[in-house]
Amino acid sequence: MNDPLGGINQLFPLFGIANQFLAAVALTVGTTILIKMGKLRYAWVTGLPLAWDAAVTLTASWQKIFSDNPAIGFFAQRAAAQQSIQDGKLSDTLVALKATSLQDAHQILVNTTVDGVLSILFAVMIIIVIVDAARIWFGLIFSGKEYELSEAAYEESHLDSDGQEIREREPVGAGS
Amino acid sequence: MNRTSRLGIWVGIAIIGAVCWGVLALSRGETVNAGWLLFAAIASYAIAYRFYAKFIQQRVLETDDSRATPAERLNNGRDFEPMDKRVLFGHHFAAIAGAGPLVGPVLAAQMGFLPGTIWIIVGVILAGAVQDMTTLFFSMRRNGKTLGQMAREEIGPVGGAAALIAVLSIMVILLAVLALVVVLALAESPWGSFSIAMTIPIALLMGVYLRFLRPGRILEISVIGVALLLLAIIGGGWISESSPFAGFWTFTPNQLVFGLVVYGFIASVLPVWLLLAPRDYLSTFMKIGTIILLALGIAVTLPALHMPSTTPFAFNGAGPVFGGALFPFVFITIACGALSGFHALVASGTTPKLIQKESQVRVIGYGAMLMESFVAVMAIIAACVLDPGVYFAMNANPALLGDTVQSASQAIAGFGFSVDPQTLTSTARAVGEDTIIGRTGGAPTLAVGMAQIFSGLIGGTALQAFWYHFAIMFEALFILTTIDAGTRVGRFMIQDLIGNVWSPFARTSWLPGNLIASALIVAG
Repeated sequence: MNDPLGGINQLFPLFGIANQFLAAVALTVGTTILIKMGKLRYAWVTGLPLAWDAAVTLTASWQKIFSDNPAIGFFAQRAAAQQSIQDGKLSDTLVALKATSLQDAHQILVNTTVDGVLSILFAVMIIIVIVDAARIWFGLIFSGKEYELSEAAYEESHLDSDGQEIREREPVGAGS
Repeated sequence: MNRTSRLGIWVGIAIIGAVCWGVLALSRGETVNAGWLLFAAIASYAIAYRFYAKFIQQRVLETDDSRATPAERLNNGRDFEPMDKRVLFGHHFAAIAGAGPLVGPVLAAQMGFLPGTIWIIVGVILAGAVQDMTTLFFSMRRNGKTLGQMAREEIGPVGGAAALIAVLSIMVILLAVLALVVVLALAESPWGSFSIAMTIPIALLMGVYLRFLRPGRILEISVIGVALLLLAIIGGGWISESSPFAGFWTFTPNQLVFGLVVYGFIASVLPVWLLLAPRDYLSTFMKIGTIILLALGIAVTLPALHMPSTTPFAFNGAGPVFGGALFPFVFITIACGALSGFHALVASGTTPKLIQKESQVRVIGYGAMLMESFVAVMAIIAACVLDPGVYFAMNANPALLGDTVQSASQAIAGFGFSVDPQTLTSTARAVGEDTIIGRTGGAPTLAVGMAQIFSGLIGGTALQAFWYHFAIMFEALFILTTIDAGTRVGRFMIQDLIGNVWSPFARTSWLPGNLIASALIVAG
């Protein structure tokens, strides 16, 4: 907790991407439900933001995983830390990553491994979610298969628009 | 009002918005006034809420107010309960508005004000607010199921399992990081700690008052609550300045972490009407009040944006604040305020279990998100009215800046901006700090920017230090409300997850499950 490079701090670089991955899950679920509701013609309402968000997050994870610039890539940072540990002295790259001692270099080695592996894991999970959902979308669009929504059954409300209990219900004109 | 005059008003708003956007987009070289940005945002939000959100509500989702919501059908007085839409708006807004809308825009300002601004406003209208509103609606139609559970039921076992695991692990990371930010902001700050601790008894009072003493008197209890809150803020200032209790209210980070865990657990287990919702409602008053005050400050003083509309870092990816080019990293850095997955957790957590009427998804889902986006716009303005040299001195990687004002000034010249060492010293002194170099993380920058805008409105330079500390506390408040709602959402998620295997867990009213799940989340 008090270690500037350890504890929760090692998760910080994941924060932004993880958050936008969650948005991708939400928008995928939304698009799926819209299509299942028979509202394909409105599916762009969540589908377009999903396409954009997927492009952004997957590009960002790609760069965070594969970039050889230590200011960006987790594994490039890891390599730099390893190099410093082998050499027994801090390189400029490590100093720019806020390392002040070889102890920090070891911490960076651990952090970047955790961050790198987790970002691969998240990216794979999200791709699975989107691909599995797309299977359902296209199945529904092209084969016209019927899917059941897991919506709760309709029940008539006894509250008015201010949330007050409606005391007397008119016997006629309710329609059902 | 008849149809023609209504049409006239909307055409007018559209023209104002278009002109403001035009000025922002076409300005080159000269500094731009922050007023253009403010009004471009307001006009865009108004049009989006009136037309696009209404289209989604009526045509896409087809909300039906004759259909009973889970809050009405499953009312158990603890997690499910129809809640007044004003209180619920407050709860939802407080829960979604965490560190993001304040910190992200400040960091992204290194690429100039334009990329961030466009993403915040376009992103919220087409993506962020849409996500919040649709997720809230879909969860509401499914008895308030959490996002991961909906993925499992609607997509299938494979995609669903991947979603459940991703959602839960991401949730834990998000909560941990948010907790870290709040701890850092409150550590060694007796003012912040006292004012925020006092919101707990005030909220309990409001909850009891609204339920037992005088049910339904929202206005009355709001006035009482806000008055007590103002007292708590003023009292906090007094405690930190001149009272013998300052030591008692000064906590180390470790003490704060312990306090947060205990509070998170209690807030997650207690009935939502007793502590969580009134506390969020109360904080929302303070948050929206401050933001409106800031907007007024900008509208009255009309400060110039000193940051260029785009800087070279947008394209070469070598920014000293964070690495990476405009695409994709602006869209990652600014999350809350434009599009944030965390909101989907709240929108499928506490809020759908409390909403009274289906049509309210528009004001609560879409409206609260627009409000948060407005907060983000304020944050980007606050960062960009600063001298860019001061901005980089505060936010660039401290390893690049060195320890003295001279070395920082030299390093900033290397980034292509100039600031003389004297300015750095005097800015620090004006807000009552020893140095502003390397005060990264976004919060201090925002606080300095807000202090400059506010001091132009009230009190002049004499009050800059006051406004600075007020802004720091304001930010801590923002984040804390995210954590308590987040813990409760995490509890729902674990209950849904275990409920797949063993059904008593899925009933959120089942007390042992409730307690175990809460304990799991705070331990994680």
